[in-house]
Amino acid sequence: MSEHFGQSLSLFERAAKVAPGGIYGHMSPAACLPGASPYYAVRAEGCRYWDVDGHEYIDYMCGYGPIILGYQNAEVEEAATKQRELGNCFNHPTERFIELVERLVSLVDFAEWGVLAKNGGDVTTWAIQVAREHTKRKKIIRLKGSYHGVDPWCTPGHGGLIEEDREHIHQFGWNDLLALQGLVERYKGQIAGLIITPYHHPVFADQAFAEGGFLEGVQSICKAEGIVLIMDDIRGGFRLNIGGSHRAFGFTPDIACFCKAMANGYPISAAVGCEELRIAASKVFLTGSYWNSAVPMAAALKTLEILERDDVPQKLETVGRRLSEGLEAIGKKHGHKIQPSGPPAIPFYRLAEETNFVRQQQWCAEVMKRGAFFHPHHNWFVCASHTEADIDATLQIAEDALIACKERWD
Amino acid sequence: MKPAAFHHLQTRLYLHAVFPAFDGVIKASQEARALLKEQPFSVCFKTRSGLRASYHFTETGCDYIPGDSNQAELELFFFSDSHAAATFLEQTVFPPLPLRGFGSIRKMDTFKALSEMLKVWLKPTEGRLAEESFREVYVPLALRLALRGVCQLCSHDRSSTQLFSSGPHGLAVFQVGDNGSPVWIRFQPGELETGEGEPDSEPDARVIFRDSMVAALATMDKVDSVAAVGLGQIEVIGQVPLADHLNFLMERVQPFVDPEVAA
Repeated sequence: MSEHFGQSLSLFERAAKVAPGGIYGHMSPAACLPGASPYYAVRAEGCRYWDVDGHEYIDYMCGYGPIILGYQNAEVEEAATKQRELGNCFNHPTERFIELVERLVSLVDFAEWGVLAKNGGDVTTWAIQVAREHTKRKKIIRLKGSYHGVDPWCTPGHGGLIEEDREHIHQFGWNDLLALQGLVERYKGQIAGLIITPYHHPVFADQAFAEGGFLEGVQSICKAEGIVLIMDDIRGGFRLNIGGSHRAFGFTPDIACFCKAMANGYPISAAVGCEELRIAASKVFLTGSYWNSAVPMAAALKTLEILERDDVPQKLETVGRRLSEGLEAIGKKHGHKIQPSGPPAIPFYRLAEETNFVRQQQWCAEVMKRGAFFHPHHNWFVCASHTEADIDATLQIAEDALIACKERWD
Repeated sequence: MKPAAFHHLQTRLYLHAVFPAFDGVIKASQEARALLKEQPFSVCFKTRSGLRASYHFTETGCDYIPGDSNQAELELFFFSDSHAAATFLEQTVFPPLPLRGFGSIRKMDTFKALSEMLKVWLKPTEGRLAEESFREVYVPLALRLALRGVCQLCSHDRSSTQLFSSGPHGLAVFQVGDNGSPVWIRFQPGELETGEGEPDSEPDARVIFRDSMVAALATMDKVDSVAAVGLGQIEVIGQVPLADHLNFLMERVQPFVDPEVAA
């Protein structure tokens, strides 16, 4: 690792002595650009953050999604502070719980009830239990390459699993309705739920939208077969449409799971569902030591208020388009295709000339050196604090980085 | 997994993943070469289930043929896969039936001696592991064994074939240092093979161990590989999921070829 990230490495050496992996999960250096990306952050503001080595970044990961308004948003922090002064963790929920669930139910068109938790995986796993409770069936259908959390039924990791963990989990490919039909025929009357993201956002691959009536087809099959349709809207929720991403893609699930954009960085997640599932939902036990904490709920209430008031999804779309058009133009200017995929608010860009991501990793490393955080393999996030000036500064960084790479490649 | 299926895979892995490592041992060991100098020999192992492989031992190495060899002077038949597995694991069982080469059966003493050497190379003591010269042989030997094992499992073990079909595919290269001699695996539907040297096409993933000690420990699953990547001890360039998937599959080989260690 270069001296550029000396303090990051020093901290990581300390961490690796006491924590398996040093940093685990999606923030592990192994999952990004080891040696060429920062490992530890110090502070953040707006769309920028600073690492332990003192480098400043225009951020395009936004905490891997939770930061939707920008770091340290004054209104959200004020709402959180006010609640903190009253208290956070009690023997009971506070009124904030009711206010937030009411808010979610009012925002999401098909929702008649909601529950709150902490992480996306809490609610995706709970949702498949609700599907099983409602249908009294065992099997769950999911998409190949999708991410729904780290519970045994869905973790992308390998360790600690037994074959039985996934005995009743079956997969099909995005946009492959025929494959889904095949699964439904094969396991007729046995499928409890189908969990799907509103668009496909795998890692190490382009994102993909539904084609040829795919989502409508999924919904129709689920309805015909009595399968509970669960939308995992952890990444897209409230970023693409304030009413949930199904509104942007023209289908209606039975349960929707939200998390990342809900509270601008405060830990909270939610599932909302249709009336038909209310009784089943009441029977599936859910709780956690901090699931009733009031501060994140206050932050979520304020965040959702701002998202609606300022039409943040539209703003993200506009900012994202500026970035997209700029990056595509830079690629063209220098003889490379910088391929966009996914929604402009949650985009992914890669060099289309390769499939092994080697040049992509080099380009993103050069970008990081120059002060913007581009993830080489995972979708990016833009936030409401990204200004036109930030995007233009980013584009200059991206171009300089590409020029530096070309010197190595040519 | 039922015992019969386990023993079948165990025997398959010995025949097609472990024993091909004799070549590396003979090339690296003067003692092995001396043993073969006066008495080269060849042997074909067969089992009732149809598993078979042949090995031609000379002082320059061991040619492995993944099937019958009419030229093998010895042909030994195992009554079952469990019989073969027990023999290869050196458990006390009755000997295999010689179908050819009765007069040369004493040459199996040389095979046993070579097997002992192979074991020493593949299960190194801390002392041996401390020697750079040992590690230079051990790392490619162990890596090739594991990759050959992956190819076998992904073709013949139900859960591994499912993992193979669902997981990432491509060409992956493993090497020690930026300029180290690579071993590779082509891991894609219809193409499951391993080799040494730089492959003829650009790899999808390249795993570079900073030095042979890191590589040896990683091969033995004695290193926190996630931390090692962050510390720069292991560099993974390109399709990280492919390398991760292969690492997982390589770990599945161990319980078959060395059940004691795995237990």
